[in-house]
Amino acid sequence: MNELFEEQLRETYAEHDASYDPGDAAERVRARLADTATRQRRPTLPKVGLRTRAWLGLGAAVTACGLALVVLLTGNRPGAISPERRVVALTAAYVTGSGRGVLHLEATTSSTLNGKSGSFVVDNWSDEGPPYDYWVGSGTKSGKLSIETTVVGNTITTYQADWNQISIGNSRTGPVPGVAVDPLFSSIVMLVSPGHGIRLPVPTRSHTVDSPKIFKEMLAALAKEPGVTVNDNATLNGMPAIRFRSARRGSDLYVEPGTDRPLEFTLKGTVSHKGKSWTRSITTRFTTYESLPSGSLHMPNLITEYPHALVPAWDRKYWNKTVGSRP
Amino acid sequence: MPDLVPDLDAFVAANIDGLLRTAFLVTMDEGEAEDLVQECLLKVAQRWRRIRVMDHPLAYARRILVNLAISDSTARSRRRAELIPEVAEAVAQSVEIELAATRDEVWLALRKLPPRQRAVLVLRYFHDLSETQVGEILQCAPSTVSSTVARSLSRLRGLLEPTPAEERSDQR
Repeated sequence: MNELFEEQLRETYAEHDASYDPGDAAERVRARLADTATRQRRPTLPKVGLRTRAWLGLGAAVTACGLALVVLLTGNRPGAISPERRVVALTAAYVTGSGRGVLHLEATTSSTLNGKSGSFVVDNWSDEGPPYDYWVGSGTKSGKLSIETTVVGNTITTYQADWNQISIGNSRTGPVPGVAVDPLFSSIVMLVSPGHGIRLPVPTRSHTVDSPKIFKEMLAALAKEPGVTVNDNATLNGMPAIRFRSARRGSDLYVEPGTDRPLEFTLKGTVSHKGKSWTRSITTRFTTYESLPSGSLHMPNLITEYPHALVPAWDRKYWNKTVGSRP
Repeated sequence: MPDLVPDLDAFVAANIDGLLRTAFLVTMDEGEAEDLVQECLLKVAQRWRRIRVMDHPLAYARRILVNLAISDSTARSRRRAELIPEVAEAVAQSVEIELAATRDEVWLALRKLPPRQRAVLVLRYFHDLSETQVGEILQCAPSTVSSTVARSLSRLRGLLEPTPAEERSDQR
């Protein structure tokens, strides 16, 4: 009975596939792709697609709403784990990842400091396990890449487009190694850091703040923080979402119902430095937050990718000493 | 295709027809399939440097396509309806007429399944992928694929069974 039905389904697909001619559609799509490619210098950070991604996030939230309802309803049974604890646990598990593959996240971060605002797009691929290599590129919303950074082993390499310069250093030295060049992390770490009261896990590499790893653990810590209120019926841009709010910290973390995928993270607070303080708000909207199989991280060599970039003498010396001569 | 790296061009050339066919069978709408594949290939182009070294770039492209089809279907159809309601209505009517004319009951019933169930059935019965392969694309366990396939088939069978009223009219 089942086999017959499955066979009928296969025949239906074969029949409709045979009646569908993708020829013209393929040409149209290829022409539009070529047109987009000529408008984009680099495909990594697209001019198009941001609105699409925002719609994607909203659509996914609707799709996941039903699943969230099931989770919440089952959580209300006597003796069951409370819905809040369940959601917190699921969210923490999601943002922390499996600890194996590659974490890929794309986000748009808007920041306001004393009334002045700016925003950038960031694309980040990172090993979830040793050797914790990562690549991060950030740029303007119009698609211009301004900073690209790789961390391979102990070497951190950064290309800055504005100065056409490559900096090379040891990712394990310095006051806050590896952090200053990760725009996503550094924009947030200014407000939320171990010094500001959130207990972060001890980094797995001594003297190394492994930005992507700590960033996701920071999100998980925020979700689990005592005093955080969980709103299962929150909305984000009109779509259902689960909100974790820390009144003390002025932070909101929104996740997708059902999948617990982080959607948005907002933070409002004061930044203090040398006796002065500024008000600052940051909104980070995740357009992608996915775990990929290990081996998905293909690390580019910035030295060969930007052969005409300036490399300061000290950086060149470090590179020659640790990696080898410049090609 | 100028400015696209040669092997991306080759990848697109080799797979665009297949992706369009998959998108058409999942969305059951030629226009939507075209939009979907365009969005999918844009994402592939943006991530090509990483995708090109994967063991199965096509599987990753399919994952993007299916995720787009599943997650964006509501928003996409709402956007279309909001943009040009009269056109959307006319298209919907013409599709219904065309479908009724085909008298293909299975095809008609498939339209009533949610996008995720349609996607699972296309991957399983059109592409003949194993439950493990489907799970890799949908980022879920093979057991989840198995249960989704079973639920989808059961629902499809339910949609194809005659209602009691239809049975009574047949008996008369």
